[in-house]
Parts: sequence; C-alpha cells; structure tokens
Amino acid sequence: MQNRMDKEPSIVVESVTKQYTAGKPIFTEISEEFRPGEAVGLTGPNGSGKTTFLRLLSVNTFPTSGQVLYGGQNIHEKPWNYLQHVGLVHDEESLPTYLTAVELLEWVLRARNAWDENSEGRISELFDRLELDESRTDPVGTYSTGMKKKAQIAAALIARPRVLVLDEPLRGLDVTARKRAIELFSEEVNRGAIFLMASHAGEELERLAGRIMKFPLEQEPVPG
Amino acid sequence: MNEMKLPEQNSIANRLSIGLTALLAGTLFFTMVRDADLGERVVAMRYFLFGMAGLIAFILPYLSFPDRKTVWIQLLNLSPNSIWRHYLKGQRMVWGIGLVPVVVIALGGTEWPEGDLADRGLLLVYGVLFLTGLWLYASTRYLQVGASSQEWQEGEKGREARQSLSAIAKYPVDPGSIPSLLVSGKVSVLGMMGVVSGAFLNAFFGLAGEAGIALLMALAGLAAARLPARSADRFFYRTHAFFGEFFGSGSDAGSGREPVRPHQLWWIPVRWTAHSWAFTLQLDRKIPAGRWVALGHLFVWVVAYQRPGEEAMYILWLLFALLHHTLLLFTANASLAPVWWLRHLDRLSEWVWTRFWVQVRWLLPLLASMALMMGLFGLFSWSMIFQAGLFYLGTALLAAVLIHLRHERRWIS
Repeated sequence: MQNRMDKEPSIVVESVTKQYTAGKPIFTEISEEFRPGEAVGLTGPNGSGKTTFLRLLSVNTFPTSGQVLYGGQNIHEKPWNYLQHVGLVHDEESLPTYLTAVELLEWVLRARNAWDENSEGRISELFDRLELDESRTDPVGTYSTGMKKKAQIAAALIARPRVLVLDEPLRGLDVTARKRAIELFSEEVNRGAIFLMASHAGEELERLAGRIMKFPLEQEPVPG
Repeated sequence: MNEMKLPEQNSIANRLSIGLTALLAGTLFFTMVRDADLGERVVAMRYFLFGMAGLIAFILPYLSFPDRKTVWIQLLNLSPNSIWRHYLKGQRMVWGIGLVPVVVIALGGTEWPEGDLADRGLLLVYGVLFLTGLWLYASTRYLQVGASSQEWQEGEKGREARQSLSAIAKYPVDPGSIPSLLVSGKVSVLGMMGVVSGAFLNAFFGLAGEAGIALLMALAGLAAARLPARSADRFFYRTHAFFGEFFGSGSDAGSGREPVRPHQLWWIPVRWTAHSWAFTLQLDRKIPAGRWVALGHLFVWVVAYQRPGEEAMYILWLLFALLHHTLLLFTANASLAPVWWLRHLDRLSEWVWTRFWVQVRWLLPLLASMALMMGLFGLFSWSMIFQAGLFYLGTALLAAVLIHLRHERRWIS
C-alpha cells in the first residue's frame, strides 16, 4: 500500500492568495502539500476561510495569485483532468432533484466510465452502510437535509476517487450516520486517498485527521 | 422596502436567447406573409393565435413555479403588487415573443401597405389584444391554481380520483395535476373558441367584428387579473409551495412506464450517453414532454387538414421544430442540474453536447410526421424534409449553447 501511495500524486498549494475584494485577503501566500493517504481536517470559526480553501481545491473558485498543482498540473488550468479524480461534498446541499439517489450514483459511475456488473451491488452496499433505506429509490427532491447529505457522501465516495474534498459532510447527520460516515472516510484514507474535510465536529475530526489546519490561516512571517 | 428590486441574474444571456427566438420567429413569419394579401394575413393570424392558445395553455406554469427567487421575495417581503409584477415578468417572455409574429403578420411585407393600412392596423390591434388578453387570463388562472391543486393532491378527493383514474387511464395521472390540466383546457378552449368565433363574426361584420372578440378577450384578461393583483402574495406563495412539493417530489409526468435506461438512448454517442440519460430521466419526470410534442404534431396536422399551401405548411413545421427547443430551458434549472454538480462531473463544453443530444430525440418523429404528410397530402420533397432536419439540428445546437451560457453565468465566482 505504501508503495502505491508513493506513486500517487500529491496536491501542492504554491503561494496561494485569495481575496474577494482587493486589499481584503481571506488568506495570503499559503503553501501546503497534501499527500496520498493523508487526512487533513480544517477547523475554525465561521467565515475564517475553510470553505474558500476547499472551493479552491474543488475548482469552484480561483486563486487571486499562486497556483494549486495536482500531479504537476495546475488544477485551475486543467480542471477536467483533475476533477476526474475528485470526490466532492459541496457546501451547497443542492443535487439533481429529479433523480433517485441510486440513479445519481449510477450517473457518477457511468460518467467516470466505472460502471460494471458489480456497480449495483456497490451502490446498495454503500447506501446500506450509510443507512439510506428504501428512500434511495425516491427522487432526491423529497429528501431531508440529512438524507441529501448521505446521498452527497455516497456520490463522493462511489467512484473511489484519489482526492476527497468534503465541506461539512457531517452537518445534518444523526449520530449513527455520522459514525458510519467516519468509518467510510477512514477506509478511504487507508486506501490512499488525499482527504480534506472541513467540519465543526471537533472530536470526530481530530480522531480522523492526521493533521489539523486551523483557520484563519497564519500568514508566513516575512524574513528580515 | 417593498419596492426593492430582486437581484437580476443572467440578463444578457436571457435577453440574447429571447431576442434570437423572437428574431427567428419573426423571420419565419415574414417569409410566410411577405407577399400575402389581407385575407391571407387574417388567416395566418388566426392560425398563429390558435397555436399560441395551445402553447400558453400548457407552458405558463412551468415558467414560474416553483419560483427560485421566493427566498428573496420573502426576505424583502414584497407587496402583493410587486409580487404580481414579478410573476408577470417571469411569464412575459411568451407574450413578448408572441407579439413579434403578430406585428409581422399584420404589417410585415416587401411593400408599404398603402391601400389597406387601416385594415392592417386593425389586424394588428386584433392580434395584440387577443394575445394580451389570453396571456393575462392564463397567467391569472395559473397563479390561483395552488389551493385546488393541493386539495386534489393531498385530500380525499385526490385519493378517490387516483383510484378511479388508475382504473381507466393507461398512464396514471397525478391528482394534483388535475386542476392545472383543467386550467390548460379552459385556456386553450377559450383561445381556440375565440379565434373561431372571431372568424364567424368576420363573415357578418368584417375585420371589426373579429377585433371585437379580441377586445372582449382583453377585457376578460383584465377582469381576471384584478383579483390576484390585490392578493397576489396569498396565491403566489400557495402555488409556489404546491409546485415546489409537486415537482420536487418528481411529478408523475413520466410515470406509468419504466424509467428510461441508458442503452435505450441508442442515437447518442457513448461519450454523452450517461449525461444525456440523466437529463432525459429528469426532464421526463419534470414535464410530460412527450405529450406536449404529440399535441404539437396534432396541431400541425389539424392545420394541414385545412390545406393552407406548401410554403405556409413548411414554415409551420419549422416553427414547430423551433418550439421543441423550449423544452431545453428546463435543463437550465438548478434543481435539475446544479452547476457545481455538472462542473464536478465533466468539462463545461460537454454539457452543450449533452443538451444537444437530448434534444435530438424529437428529430425522428418530426421527420416521420413530415414524410407522412408528404405521402398523404403531396406536400414537400425529400430535400425539403432533409433541410428541415438540418434546421432542427442547427437550432438545437444553438439552443444548447445559449442555455448552457445562461446556466453557467449563474456559477462563475
């Protein structure tokens, strides 16, 4: 496993600054590296920049300066190449409402050319583990917040992506579902995925994550 | 506070789409009537209004409900009048685009209509009043449909109706959709009967008699609109809530048969099969698209039965081809295709092609229907049918690009 992880690309954040308004940076000159099999937790108060950071890593926002590389490629220059490897729980809970959760996962697998004779079984198993019961065959539009979150988590995991970018994936889940989700996340980390998760669930995050990034991020001291 | 404006989105893309549709419709009608005399123009106007009655009757509720700006409307707590204006604004696209052919049919031509300018003016008044009245009447009725729809959907009445309908109908009808269907029926009958009555009166009183019917239609529209203008908030929130639940739960629009599977979309290249499948599945659940298209074919055949001439018929087919693409508008709906989700799944450009291939599904029935007309009525040639096919594909691609732009502008941060 360690050998395989060594061959997988890392995410390298190089001197990234992001500001929505000139002169008011959310973070400045951030440099980080996220390696395969590494679980990173993002914590901090509301508005401290966690979601912005994850939106950068999911190509939903673009850096003001600096770049983010995956396998040496700038993810904002070649989003499609990168996003093929990404499983995403977005900060929005919106999903296509007229599909069932099962169809949603089928779409993900087919879109990633990963649909095969075992896929239906894997979808069932994943929903069983997340305890999304018979409602998995109802349209997503009928779901509660927690059920939507389960569908989002399942959609992020089903294609076994190399990178997981999860923004508050536990929000709205009941205690059992949170436990199940954490188990699934641990398995993904052990499988070698780069795992980034923002959450206010402090204890759970600390148990899962090997490294915690505290927001707002400290600016690197300028030498001299 | 009450008069605050709601945030505008996609105004350029929206205006571009609407402008191009209006331009295309205007051009097609201009080609049809450019050398026509007054009598032919009157007939063309009747056909147009006849068709618009059907279109208005079916499309309006889908344009406005559920309304994604409701969160803003509530936050700003818009007054009933402001809500009414906002609601009409969402529907005026159909009215505005419809006015273009009205003007073209009445006034468009290669020569200045000196001799019959007054009659042409009267024809214009007839078209404008008729269209405006019908649109206003339909908009008002749809705004008010929430309460009865909810009663049918959730109450005992609906349960009984569901049982009786499932015994007789091939495809089950969702009881909540019955009041909307009734309104559709009322609006289309009112519009079509209005056209027929006008034609009847024309025989006795000339064009003025026909315009009189249009005046009555306009008055009916204005009268119907008086009540909701005062209580638009109550009607709007209720109808929004109903359609939010109805569409959100996946209406039974496409039910009664197994959901489409990817392998059934044989005409779509493998690269776009998965995406097109997901779009098609959702569209079929949101709207009864197949029934709309079938109804459109029926209308074209009814017109063809009157034998209006090859050129007019051909233009009607082209207009109908164009009309198919309004179905694609639903794929710009965030509830069907959240932008972050599409972005996450594939390249932006692929969604243009996905929309295009989804739309190709109506091409074969269109060409088959034209070919049948060629066989039965001796209209058209294979070359004309081929060109109509190219027109359909070209405009489908254009529509896919415009709708893609409209959709994406919502997202870029």
